[in-house]
Parts: sequence; structure tokens; C-alpha cells
Amino acid sequence: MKKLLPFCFFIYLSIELTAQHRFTISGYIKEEQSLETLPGVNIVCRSLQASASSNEYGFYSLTLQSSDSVVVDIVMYGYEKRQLRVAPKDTTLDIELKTFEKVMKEVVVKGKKEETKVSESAQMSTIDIPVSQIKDLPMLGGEKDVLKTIQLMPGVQKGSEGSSGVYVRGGGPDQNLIILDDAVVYNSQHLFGFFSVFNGDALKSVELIKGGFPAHYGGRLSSVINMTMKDGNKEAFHGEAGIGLISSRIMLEGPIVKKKSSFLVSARRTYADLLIQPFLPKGQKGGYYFYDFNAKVNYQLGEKDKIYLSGYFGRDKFYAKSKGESSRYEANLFWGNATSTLRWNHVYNKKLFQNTSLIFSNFNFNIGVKDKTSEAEYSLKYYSLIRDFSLKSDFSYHPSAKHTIKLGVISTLHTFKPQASEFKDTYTETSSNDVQRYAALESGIYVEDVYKPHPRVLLNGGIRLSAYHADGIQQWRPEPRFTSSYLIKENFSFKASYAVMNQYIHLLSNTGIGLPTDLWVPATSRIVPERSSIVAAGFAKDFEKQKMALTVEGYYKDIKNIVTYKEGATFFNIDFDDLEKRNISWEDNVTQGKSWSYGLEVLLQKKVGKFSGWAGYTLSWTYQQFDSVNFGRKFFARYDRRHDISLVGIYHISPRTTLSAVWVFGSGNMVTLPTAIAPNPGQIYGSEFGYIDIGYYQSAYEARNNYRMPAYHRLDLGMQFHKEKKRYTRTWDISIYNVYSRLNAFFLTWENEQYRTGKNQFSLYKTALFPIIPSITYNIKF
Amino acid sequence: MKYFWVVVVALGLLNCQRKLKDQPDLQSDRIFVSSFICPQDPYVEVTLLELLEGNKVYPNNYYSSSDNTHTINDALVIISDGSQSVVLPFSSKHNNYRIHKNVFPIQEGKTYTLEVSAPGKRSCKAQCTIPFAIEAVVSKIDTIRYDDSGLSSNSFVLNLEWQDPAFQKNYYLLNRVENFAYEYQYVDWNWIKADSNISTSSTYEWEGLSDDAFDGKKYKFKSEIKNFFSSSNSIGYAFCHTDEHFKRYFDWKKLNYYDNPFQQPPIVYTNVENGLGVFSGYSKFYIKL
Repeated sequence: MKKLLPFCFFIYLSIELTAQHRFTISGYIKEEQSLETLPGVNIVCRSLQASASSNEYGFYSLTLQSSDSVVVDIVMYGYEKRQLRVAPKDTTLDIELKTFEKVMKEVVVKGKKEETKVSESAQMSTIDIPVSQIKDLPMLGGEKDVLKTIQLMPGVQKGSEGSSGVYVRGGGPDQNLIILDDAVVYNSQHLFGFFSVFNGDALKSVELIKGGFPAHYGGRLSSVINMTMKDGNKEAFHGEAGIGLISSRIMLEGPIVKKKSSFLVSARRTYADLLIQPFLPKGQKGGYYFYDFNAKVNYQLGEKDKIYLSGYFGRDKFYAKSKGESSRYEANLFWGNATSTLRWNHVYNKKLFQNTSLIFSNFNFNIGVKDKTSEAEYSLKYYSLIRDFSLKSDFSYHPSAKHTIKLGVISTLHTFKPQASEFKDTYTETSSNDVQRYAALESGIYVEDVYKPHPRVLLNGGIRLSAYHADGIQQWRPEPRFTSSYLIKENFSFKASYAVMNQYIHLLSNTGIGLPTDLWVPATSRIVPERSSIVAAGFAKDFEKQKMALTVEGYYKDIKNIVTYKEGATFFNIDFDDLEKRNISWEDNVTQGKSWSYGLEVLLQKKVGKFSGWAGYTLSWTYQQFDSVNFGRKFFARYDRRHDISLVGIYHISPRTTLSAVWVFGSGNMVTLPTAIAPNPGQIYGSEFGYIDIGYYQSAYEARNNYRMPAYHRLDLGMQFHKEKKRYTRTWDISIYNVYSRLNAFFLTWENEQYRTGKNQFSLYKTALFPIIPSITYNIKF
Repeated sequence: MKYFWVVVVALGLLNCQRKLKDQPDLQSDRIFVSSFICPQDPYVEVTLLELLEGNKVYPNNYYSSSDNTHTINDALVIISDGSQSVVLPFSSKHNNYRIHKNVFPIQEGKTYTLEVSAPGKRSCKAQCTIPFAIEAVVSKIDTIRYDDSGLSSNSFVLNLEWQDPAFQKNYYLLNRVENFAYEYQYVDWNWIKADSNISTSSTYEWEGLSDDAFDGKKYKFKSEIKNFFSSSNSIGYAFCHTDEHFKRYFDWKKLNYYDNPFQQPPIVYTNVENGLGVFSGYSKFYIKL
């Protein structure tokens, strides 16, 4: 750090000395009606070929060199474009933008709605996903889902049918840094992955980064999914609510002190358990539910300071209870996240902005059984947990229109309890309490500069130094990051990027479908950290007339030290007593190897106009290799998909009606299938080693992931009917999932058809989860 | 009404099951070989099994444990030691190919080749080398009483010691052998467990023990046996020195045993070219108690 400070100071000084006849405009960009700050808004001065964009907190700073007043454009997807004339002097200017919705209502301007040009941005492999588009798309059960929308982007695969698991460029679901208001969300899924934990009503922005990672992100190998919660309306009280077939939700927001402070709360809960309750016998209760709760408050202390406090709490729970005359039985399985973030924004001057965050994140998974009779009580509790406390501080400095410098530091204290169990039996008077606990300190320091040395060239270079201390090990690892863009001609640019990432915590999973039983574990002296390097190159083209953007990217990603269970090991068959006796830990059940993937991604996107949407195509290969798995031979990853196509269309027929359609096609996932079925050789009488009866026949699996499942495709349709009422707007949202009821394989099994057809023969069967599923949701907004 | 939702979900899933149009090839023209040869055994035995054919309709009792129709009985089975070879005849009584050691003796240190061909099947071939028998010394036998769910019983603790040959991979297996009135010997693998205080390198269950941690050294081993059968005619241990094929095949069998849907299926080990199964060798040293 000591060595970095003079370096930063030198940059500052050299820039300041040359900064003559310059003036800076800075401030916050907000939504007109709600005063919600807007991140990612572009402020462009075309005459001087200078631009800047607002940061995550809506703050912008643009330094220009001119003796005359200049015109700047303020451009953001979903908002009316604004043009302002600025006098040549330092100015603090908070800018308010009208939403497109508002523009439509007022019928003021048509065709002025614009978006950021992809060809003018240095960043590549990055996609902003408008929350409004997420709400327009048809979804399974009518549940609008951020992660399932992300799955429709090129380079992103879903795990299996209905799952909200995200596999980016051959990476696993644990390799995604999923952050909500700076807090890491460890388990992003409800109901074994069918729904994500993020309630779209509470979200302001969603950004997906697949490569070319800026230096301020670290800790994961494959992607960053950065979500920001809304601040809450500072002008007036508003809300949204919806009743669907699976869940109901409500969101309320409003000012605490007008223009200074606001709040937002949102909640969602499923009610299948309440509906089946009347059908259960007397004395018995059982079912499943999940719920989410988001809350945020903010307060503007003055012109230069703002404080935010936000949090998320969610739970999934299966439960069964029965009560007899002299006995009582309870079993439950629950898991969930809790996050909390306290942030302080401070503007030092027109060019320097700081955010400091104190962050808490917790994920735990519990299984509990309690059996009580008049004579004895038996209880068993198993749980695993990961808990983080983080402190981070980020500075953004805007010395000139050519430079935006970011630097910062973050430190996270992880606590892991991968396997903990408590057992008590009063009948045999036995009990045990076994907890595995690990602590790890993960830190990072970074500096990056977005530099525009030439009107056609844009560079984003940076370095992150990550540090990790745990289990007697201490590691410092440099992570260089680089992204560049060269504007070949107007609206057409070439981009390239390179990034190195390290991951110090791992998710042990052998299902690959994101069960909550997957265990988070730290890197230790035996399990070394994972490391990836990714290189990407491609073109970006804006079609101004058609309001469309095309990006084509190729990538190669190499990952070292990925972790997996050894063959045959799993969470469910680990004999904990035996482990203790033999002094074996989870580290004995895992092995490390490597993975590499490469591919090509094409995205044609239209964000504005009556008709919007995108077409995405991915061609990719993903391999893995472990010395002690599959006899050391390389194999395709389970989520290797050769072709993946997504077509998404949203058509606003009128302010009252919206139609949408999604069609997806993908080559099947790889699965491990037996290549032979043999009668059990256990029938070898006379042999000392043969008689192990495991059934009448046994399957012989000769290679890992040796069979590609049938191709997956599906069409979803959605219709929304909006109507303005006196005090609110109501929307009927009708979704039809899998319109042509394609039975996409969820898993494959060899089955004896004797019970099905009477014939004693083996055939391969597919089991699908979701045929055509219509759903309807009633929403109101006031 | 209690099971209403279970029935609904089950019906839903069944309704969503379909036979795949393109059935993969199960490669059923291969032969499954199962043979463990040992100088101390009276017979050289080879069992050949037919692999199931996908989509073929079999008789209804085809998979039953008492039925042996899946055994290949018309194969040509030749075993050779490099200098002489012999054809193993099929024994319908034992349902395998066997020959007495007087006709074709198995010797420690020798490499044997097995060649199998059968009508309509791919010919296959495998090779193994017989390890030398290693003498294990029983240093002590303790009898302890233990409590199992409130019932007291006896258990034996066997202390063994042997010298591991240096500079080579060695694998060991300890079998409890009880001679019942039945024709075959009964072995229960799960009763043999190691004492973690002594066994420093690895677990010692029925997957066997490798000498990774004690190459060339004297090794002490303690095993506790519970539920000793008193009805057996005689009881003892077979201390086996096995080849690598043996070890790896039984590693696979153990993993496959659980049949756990949440684990990645273990990849089958075979040393049979163009076929499946195992042809392996071992030597044993009997310890009579």
C-alpha cells in the first residue's frame, strides 16, 4: 500500500499540472418522479468527444476543456434523453431524468429514447439487464426471475429444466459473484433452484459481467452478477403488489423526510403449505414454503454525505409435525440467506467520491429431527454455515475526461462450519456435539484506470492484489485486468480483454443442480485456491437507425484447482462417526483438477422501441480433468453445451397491452450413463470375493459424462393487460410456460419395462418436469 | 387424503416419462469376465457373463438370483503362463470354467494371460501377475466384551504384523473365512475394521490396504471382529496379497454398492481388453484361530 500511494499521487499531480482551462460538472443523476439515483447513465459531450458515466450510487463527474459553453447529452436506457447547455465553470448539477413510461403518458416525445452505445464502451462481456424487461417476460409459474432472465443471455447456461442456476462460460454456479447491495449472496435459489431469491420489485439494476472483469471485483472465477436495490421513493408513497399461483408479494416505498430520506420494504411468500393444510389428517402438519424480505432506508446528511442501510432475509422450509396422545414428532429442513449492508457515500469534491461499506452475509442449512415420547426424547440436528463480515472502501477519482481512476480495499472475515451435528438420545443416554469450524481472512486491494488516450481508443487497466489467510496458510496473488476498445469507425469497434481471478472458497457439489446441501468450504493447506484466466476478443456494432446493437465475442478460459468430490463420495453417504474414528475430514473426500472452455457468443439486442428484445447464440466447449476421477481422462463438463440459442421479443402493442415471447434451444447436458448392464457377478459361488449382493444386475459406467441428453427447446408466451384505475394501475399478467409442451429431459434412466408393458426389457427413459404450464398473476401499482 | 399430493406428484412425473426415440447402444456384444486366481486355491476359475441388450425382450425370470441363464457357457477360454496354455472346460454344476491346479498350477510371480472367445461376442483378453504370499504373524488375540444396544457380546481383537516388500506397490486384504456346511465359504466384509490408533495410512475395510505409507517397513495391524459366529466348523483369516487390478476392481465395487443417486456414478474398473470385468491374481496366507 505504501508503494502504491506515491504512484497514485504522481498520477494525480501529473494530471492536475496539465489541467488548465478546465471545468468540471458533477452531481447525482436521479429519476424525476422518485429521486431514485441512477447508475450507469452516460453523460456525453459530443463536440469535445468526452464522456463519463454515473457510478453505482448515481454520482458522475465530467471534466471538460473549453472556453465556451458546451452541450451535454444525458442518455440512459428506459429514460428520456436530455440535452443540457453547461457554462464553462465548475458546476454541481443534479440531473433528473423522466422515465420512458412517463414520457409515453405525456406523449411528449417519440423516438428520443436512447441507450448507451456498446461500441463506445471499453467494457466487454458485460450486459445490463433492465429490471423492467425482466418484468415483461413470461416465466415459470408467473414468478419473474432475474437469474432466469440472465440465463437467456449468450455465454450463460442454465443447469437443468426450470433451474435458476447460472453457468457462465463453462464455470460452475459457485464461481459467480452474486452481490446485492455489496453483500455476497451465497445461495441464490429457492425450492432446489426453481426460483431465485431475488424479488424484482425491490431491484433497481442488474449487471452481468462474464469476462474482462474490472479490478474492483474479485473472489470468484467466472462472473459477477451485481444487483442494486432501489433506494425508495423520496417524493411520494408508492407500492406494488401481486397475487400469483405460487406466491404473493408486496413492495412499499416512500419518503421518511421528503427529498432527504426514504424507505423501501418488500416481501414475498409462497402458500402451497397453507393450501394443503386442510387435506392433512388431524394432528399432522407439513409442507413447504419460502419467503423473502428486503428492506432499505437511506438518509442524505448534507450535500456531500449519504447513508444507506439495506438488508435481505430469505428462508426455504420443509416441515412435518405429528402429535399423538403420548408422542410428538417434528422434522424440518430449512436454509436461507441473510445479508445486511451499511453504506456511507461521501463526495470530497467535484472529482473525488468515496463509498465505505460494512457488510454482513450469512447462509445456513439445517436438518432437524425430534422424536419425543413419554419415555424418552431423541433429537438430531445437522447444519452447515458460512458467515462473512466485510469492510470495504472504494474511491473514484475523475481528474479529467480522459481518466477515471478507481481504487479501494476490502477485507472479509469468513467463518465456515461445513459440517456440524448435535445428537441426543435420552433412552440410551447418549449424546454428541461435533462442529467443524474454520476461519479465513480474505482481502483485496485494487487500482484501475479507465483511460481514453485517443478519441478512438479506450483502455481499462488495473491490478488487484488478493490476500488470503487461513489454516496456517498465507497467500498473496496478483490479478492483472485489462480491457480495451478501438473504434474502427463510427458505431463499430474492436474489443479485447484479459483477466486473472482467484477464488478462495469452494462449493462442494456432486449433483450440479444447486441443492442447499452443497457445502461451502475454504481453501486450506491441502485444498489450494482456484485460479482462472480468461481472454476474450470481439466486435461491437451499433445500428443507430434500427436502434440495435450487435456484439460478437470469442473467449478462452482456463481454470486451475477446481474442486469436486472424489468418485463415490457425497454429502449423503459420509459416515460421520467413521470419519471421526478415522480422523478424516471433508478434505479427504475431495480432489482438485482443471477445467478449460472456449467459445463464441453473438448477441443482437434491441432495447428501445415498441418492439424490443434480443437474439443470442453461443457455441462453446467445456472440459474438465481430475487425476483421480474418470481414471484421469478429460471429460466434458455436465453443463457443456455445443449450441445455445435464445430469442426474446417484447411487443408493446399499446400502453395497455404488452406481448412477449421467449424461445430457447440448447444442446443437451452431458450425463453419465451406463454403457453396459451386467447381471451381478455376485452369483459366483465358490469365490471368496464375489458374494456381495447388490441386486440382480449392475450398471457399468465406463466414462464420466459420456452421453449427451436430447436437445432442449421451449417456447414461452406472455401477455400483460394494464389498466389505469382511479388510484392505481392494475395488470393481469398471463404466462404460458412451454407452450408446445415439449417434454425436455430432466434426467435419464435405464428402466425395466416389465411393470410398464409386461416385457422384460431394458430401455432408456427420460423424465421431464414441466409440460405446458399456464399461470396468471394479478398486479397492482400505486 | 393424506397421500393426495404424493399421488398427484407421482402421477405427474409418470406422465412426464417417455421412452427415448434414439436408444443408445449398450455394447452387449462384450463379455463380462470375473476371475481371481490364486496359487493356494484348488481350482482356476473363470466366470463369463452376458451383458444385457437394450430393447431386447428377455424371459421373465432372467434376472432372478437363482437363475443362471446369463452365464456364457459356450465360450473358448484359454489360460496361459507364457510357456504352456490350457483350455478351461465349462462346469455346469458350478456355472463357470474351471480346471484343477494339478492340471494347470498357478505360481507366485508368474504372469498369466486369459483369452476368451464366444459365438456372437467380441473376443477379449486380460493379463495379471500373481503376487508372492506374505506371511503375517499373529502377535496377540484379545477378547473384549462390548455393548451393542444393551446386549453384551464378545469381540476378538487380532494383532497382525508383516514385512512389506520394498520398492513395489503392494495391496493387502484380510478376509475372515468361516467354513459353513454350505458349499461355498461365507465372507462378511463389513465386520473387519481397523483400529485408527495403529493403522496410520488408510482405512482397512473390504477395499483393502495399500502400502503407500509403509513401503518396505514392518507393519502392525489391529482388527476387531464383532458377532463371532460360534456355529462355524472352523474359523480363520485369509491374509491376501493382491495385485492392483484386484484392489481397483473392489474399490469400484464398494463405491457402486451404495447406489446413491446424489453421488456421481463411479467409473467401472476393468483390465479386460474388449470386455468388462476383471482378471486378477492374489496369494493368500491362512491364519487359523
